[in-house]
Amino acid sequence: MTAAALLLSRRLSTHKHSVLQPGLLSPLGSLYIFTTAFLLSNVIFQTNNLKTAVTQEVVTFSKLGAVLNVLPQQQRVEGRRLLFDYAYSITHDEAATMKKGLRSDNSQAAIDRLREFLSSSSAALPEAPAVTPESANYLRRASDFSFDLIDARERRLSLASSSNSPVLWLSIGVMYFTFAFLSFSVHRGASSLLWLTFILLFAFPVPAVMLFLYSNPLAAGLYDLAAQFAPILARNM
Amino acid sequence: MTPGLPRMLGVLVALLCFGQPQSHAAEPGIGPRSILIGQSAAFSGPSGALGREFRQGAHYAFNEVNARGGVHGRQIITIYRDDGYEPDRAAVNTSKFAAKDQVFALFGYVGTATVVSSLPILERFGIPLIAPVTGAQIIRSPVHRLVFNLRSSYHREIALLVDYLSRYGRDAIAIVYQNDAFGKDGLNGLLKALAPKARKPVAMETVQRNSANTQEAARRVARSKPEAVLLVSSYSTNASFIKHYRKLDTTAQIFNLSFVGSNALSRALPSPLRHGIGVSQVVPFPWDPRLPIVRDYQLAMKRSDPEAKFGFSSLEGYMAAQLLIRALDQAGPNPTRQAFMSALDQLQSSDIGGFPFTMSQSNRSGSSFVQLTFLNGQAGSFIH
Repeated sequence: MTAAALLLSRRLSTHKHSVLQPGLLSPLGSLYIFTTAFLLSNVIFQTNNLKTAVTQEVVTFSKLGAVLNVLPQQQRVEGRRLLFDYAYSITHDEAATMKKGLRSDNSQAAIDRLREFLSSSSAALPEAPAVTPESANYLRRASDFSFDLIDARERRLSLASSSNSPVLWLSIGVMYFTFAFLSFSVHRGASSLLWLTFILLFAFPVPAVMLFLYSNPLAAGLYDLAAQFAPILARNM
Repeated sequence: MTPGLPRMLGVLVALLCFGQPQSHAAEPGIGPRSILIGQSAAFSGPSGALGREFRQGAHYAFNEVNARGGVHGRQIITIYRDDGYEPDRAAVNTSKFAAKDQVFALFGYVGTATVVSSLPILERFGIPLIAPVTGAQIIRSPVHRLVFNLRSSYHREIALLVDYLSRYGRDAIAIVYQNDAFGKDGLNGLLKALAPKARKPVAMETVQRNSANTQEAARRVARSKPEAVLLVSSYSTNASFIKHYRKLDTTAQIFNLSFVGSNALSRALPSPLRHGIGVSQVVPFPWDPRLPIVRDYQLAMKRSDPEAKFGFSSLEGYMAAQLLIRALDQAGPNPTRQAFMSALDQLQSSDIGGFPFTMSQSNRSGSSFVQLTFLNGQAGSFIH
């Protein structure tokens, strides 16, 4: 694109059609900088949101695992097995599929099994449970946390889904081309051409990289989903 | 450290510090300042972790009581002999304990076949065996006058597994069992548990003790398309089976008995294969300090070695040692084997730090505690 801008500026300059002035560079440069800054802020915002969502999901996991403690042994271990199956599927399946902006069928099946368990009498308390602060609130909390898990998953998937808009890419391309063309058209002296080309080549990838990172922090490697779940999977519960 | 080194060190300490064990007392294994206890178990070889982890837990308990001055002023000295989980070697070791070392009691033998091979020697010399690491019926029913069990039976473990599997709709159960007394006890336990439901295992395959040759058994079990597979062997054999079985694209729930060596099994399997593997346990959850015995165990371990990792086998060793210590204490300042066994029988319905068990002349079955755990693939942790 830089080369195309250079060739076009040379051609128009040869035909003496150039009416472009250096003063035009300033507003265009500002626009380019603002766009880059906007994308950068979005990258940070998006990544922070994703971190918050995953942290909330991990907290919900821990809470649900703890709440199941009031169940009799066989029910408790079945509930925790399903819960940890789901957590394991996130770290081993969904963490990979989310990099492509996709959800994992295995994780979906795992959360469905967990939901099925929690909506059945298998997750109900025995007829005369020991009254403790946890058992007193068990039914409501177990239900709330299971729905919270669904919410947390959807939020995580949404934040990590690809927002790789072609229009945005095209806008950045057009803006860059214009900026490069204008810069080449108004530059004076052969020695500055090399510097200008170098600066343009250096500047071009910045918004593109930002856009890539913004589109999916997981795919960009800004965030390791599996690492966030590792502490709860390492717990003996 | 070589397997024989701890044993030699134990004997050396006993001889140098406390003189000839029998020089001042008529009772075998009782010296003026010492009580000799023998343990034959697998400390090396494919099942070596079973004995090592149990010994580690017992050590913490013995060290604590010895540091406080011992039992009635006598230090507990433990002599270890490695049998590699082989019955013949266990019998030889037991003979040496009885005739050469002249120990007061035996403790924490690991394995059914090893215990069974030692029983005639126990009978001949009248040596009590405390807390063997086996849940086999052969030393429970009928009651053996010299064997004092702490852990629950394999039949109870299997009944719980079958109950759990039935509850969640997995009725087609296959069994892979070790071709010896342990494995046959497991098979009998499964047949007994399935009988009231008028069902039988969908496949019954045998494997050899201490063997990793499980490919054929895995293939045959996979062909029967079970919903669950019960493995009745130790960790090395079971890990080998699981690797072969999962290669066949199978999803059946796999269960192991407590004897498997839970931590060792976890270490023997790669992360994706160990996830979701079930293990029944006969001791409380070692990471849950709400029970006093577990809290004491954790504190003892952390005091001795801050890097030590908790585990089911070492907790069992710690609890077994506590039982031994309590019986020695109750046997009085001049213990005899008879007084020691009477003290154990008089425990009746008792508990060790909140862990209940029964011990009497007519019932030496120990605890009835069984719980299910599952392995977590990521870090090899357990859920219960």
